Amino acid sequence: MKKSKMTIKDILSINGMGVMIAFIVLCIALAISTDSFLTAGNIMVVLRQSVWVGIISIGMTFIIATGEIDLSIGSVIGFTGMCCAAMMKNYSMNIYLAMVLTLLIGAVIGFLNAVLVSKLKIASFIATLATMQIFRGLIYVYTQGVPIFGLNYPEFQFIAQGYVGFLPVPIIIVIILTIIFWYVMYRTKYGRNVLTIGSNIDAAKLVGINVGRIKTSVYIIMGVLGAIAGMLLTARSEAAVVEAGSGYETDAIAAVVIAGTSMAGGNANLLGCLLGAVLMTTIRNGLNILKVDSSWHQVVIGIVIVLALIFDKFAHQDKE
Amino acid sequence: MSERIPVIEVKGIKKGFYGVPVLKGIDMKLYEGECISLIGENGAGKSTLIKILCGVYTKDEGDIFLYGEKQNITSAEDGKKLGISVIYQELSLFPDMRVYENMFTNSELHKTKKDGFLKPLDIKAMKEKSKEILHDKLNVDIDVNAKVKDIPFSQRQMVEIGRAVLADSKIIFMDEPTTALEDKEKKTLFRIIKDLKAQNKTIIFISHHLDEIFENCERTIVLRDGYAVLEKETANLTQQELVKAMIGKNVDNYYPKVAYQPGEKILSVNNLSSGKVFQNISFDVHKKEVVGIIGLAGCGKYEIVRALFGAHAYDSGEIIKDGKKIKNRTINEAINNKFAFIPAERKTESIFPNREVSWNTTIAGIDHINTKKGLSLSKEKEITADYIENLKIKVTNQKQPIASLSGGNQQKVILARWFLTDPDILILEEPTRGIDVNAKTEVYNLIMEYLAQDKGVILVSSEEEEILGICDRIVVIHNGKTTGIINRSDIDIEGLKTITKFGKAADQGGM
Ligand SMILES: Nc1ncnc2c1ncn2[C@@H]1O[C@H](COP(=O)(O)OP(=O)(O)OP(=O)(O)O)[C@@H](O)[C@H]1O
Ligand SMILES: [Mg+2]
Repeated sequence: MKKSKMTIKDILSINGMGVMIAFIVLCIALAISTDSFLTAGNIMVVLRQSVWVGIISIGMTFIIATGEIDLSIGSVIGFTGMCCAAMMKNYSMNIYLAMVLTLLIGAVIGFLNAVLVSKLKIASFIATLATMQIFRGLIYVYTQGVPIFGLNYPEFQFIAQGYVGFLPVPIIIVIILTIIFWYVMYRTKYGRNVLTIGSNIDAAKLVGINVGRIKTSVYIIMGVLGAIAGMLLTARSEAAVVEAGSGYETDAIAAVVIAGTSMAGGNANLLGCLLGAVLMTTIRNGLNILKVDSSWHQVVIGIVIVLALIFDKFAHQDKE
Repeated sequence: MSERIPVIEVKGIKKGFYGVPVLKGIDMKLYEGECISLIGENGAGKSTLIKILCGVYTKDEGDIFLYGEKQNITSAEDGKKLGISVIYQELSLFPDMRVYENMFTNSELHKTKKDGFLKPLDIKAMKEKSKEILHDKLNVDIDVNAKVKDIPFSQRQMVEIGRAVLADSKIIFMDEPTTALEDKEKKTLFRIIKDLKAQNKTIIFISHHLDEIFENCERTIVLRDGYAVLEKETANLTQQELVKAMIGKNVDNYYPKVAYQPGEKILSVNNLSSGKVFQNISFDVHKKEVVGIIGLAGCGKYEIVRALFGAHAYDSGEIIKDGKKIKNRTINEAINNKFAFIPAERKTESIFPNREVSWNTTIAGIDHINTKKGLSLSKEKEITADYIENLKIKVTNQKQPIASLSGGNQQKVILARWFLTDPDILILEEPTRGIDVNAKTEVYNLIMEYLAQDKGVILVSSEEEEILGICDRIVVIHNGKTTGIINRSDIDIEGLKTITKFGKAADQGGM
């Protein structure tokens, strides 16, 4: 008995269909109403600007899949970006060594969050809210509000501004990360365990999953991804500014959620979250092209998120 | 005979999921002051029918009349307004809230009569009222200030029942209210049902225990293949007739026990102790043997088996498997030592509700689908399909979420989950809770087949029939201590009930 009775309703209720449709509609609308949107140059701009949120939304998908949250990641981007800049500029460290150390710092920060959440059992919303303040604060403490400028080291610039063939390096990085983490999420025992914990934590313990260890590892992944995003951002602007990455955590959470990943944990749409990240940049980009005042950008983004969520809700209703 | 107006009448109710029909046209009438039993195999659609009547699900077709008037019930809120209370099969309490808060969810008492959003709660009155219902009416000793997650499951069930009593609805649906209850609590519930009938309420009672149906219900409706295939006064029914109507064939042996010749010793538990919970527990398990553990609520029987599986701490004593001393301090260690454990509370401790049947099947034995290239989804599909066939699991599709299966079928998936790990010792906690008579027999058959491969089984149950039906030896626990290890052939059901209750056989009691 073959089931080929896929109704429109079934298609619409696929996770993340909301963001897909929103994205397509938006692209068509922008392509029709502007000349410059659908140019190769502009598409590249959109993709490049999606890189930072895209990278951390991968990590956010893992965190949310376990049923937790990480609000500190925007600050982590800023903090690791600053550390990297400081090591290169203020301590004249070898560029590659500085980058490796930055990844390490990201991992350590992730571990710290994990200790709060899974060892001390502080609700992740509160714990990461606190670390968000701490790391943003530390940026101010170290820089006294003065950006670290002049990071014009070719090897460093390369990761954000270079090309391999016609592809920008940061986009290659995102593609590689996506492939790796897609595989990890959907084709490894580890990924299964992550989702299983989010689905029912008590039952997960009873099938022998080490819940604490998995949660810790997920936060460490998040920290490292935050460090990668932080370096890319710093390398792009050739400076570490105090507010770097601020607000990215909400963008990443939105990207994950509009892709249909439930905040309750237990499911994940990894590719969808990247689309979500691109969607949000596209909106900003489109509004820029349309010369809409930038104060309206947040409003529009908020509305689009709500619409995507309402759509998903309706599509899923009645499945019972 | 005068025409009585039915309290509820349903006509031609139809409902399907994912294009698969479950109810194909149900007609029934319920009258004042009667308790009707709704029975049928797992997946027959009992809970679905109830959920349609109370507004949780929307019907595909058909009409519902209350007191002769057609009603359109589209939400649980509607159902509540029309005077319908439900005790759901899956507990619906809020675990992080207190008992008294759960008793009054969405019908809180206030200090003033005036309307308004901000009127103060009358906490004292709510506590008093909760105590009155739970302590006086239901005879359960529950601290109304305790959080629901901190009280045992049987008491949670009593809170659910208390909530329905409190709501004072005209119509009460009870979907398997007795599965988590101990004997004493069951008796209380049956007394409450009598009271409710005397107050002219209408009750639908669902259970897989036929004796409970004979005890409580005036009329019985049997669901099969989407239709009500039998409706009769319970007094004019026999057990055979009921079972035949339910499953379409006769069952002559509910406990397909195979008494194998026990093999060598596979497990010894020596003087296992855990603080005040249990002390000096000792017993052996041999190959091809089922060892039963029985005892009253709170005697420590569940904690003992959980300690063997690394899910409950123990302070002293030893566990010896195949002649080697092991510790099983963590669940992982126990799994590596080839133990498996199926907990009683399916919803909270076994299933991954939103995940697929296949996922739920392979999660414990995931190494079977782990290859060098990562998880093999085709292998997973194959394994799951095999189990679905061998264990006769009713699914529409192995990718459907396990929560959408009926209780019995969920349990079979969980059995499959652990069979896949090929354990030497299988620990079962109330393995047939909520499972229909037929599926029960199938589960026992599966256990017997599994035993034949030189395995050992430990079965904890609060049902004497089940223990006596399939165990070779029975460990009786009383107040955390072993009071005796009895051979199956040396005791009858009455004897087992007595010794479970009092911790000693009647003739030793100085009578
Ligand atoms: N939300 C749902 N989504 C998909 N299928 C469902 C859903 N709820 C129930 N079903 C299907 O409907 C059928 C009837 O289920 P229901 O829970 O009503 O059975 P039941 O008679 O109460 O069984 P049990 O004795 O095991 O409780 C089952 O095959 C089940 O898989
Ligand atoms: Mg049911």
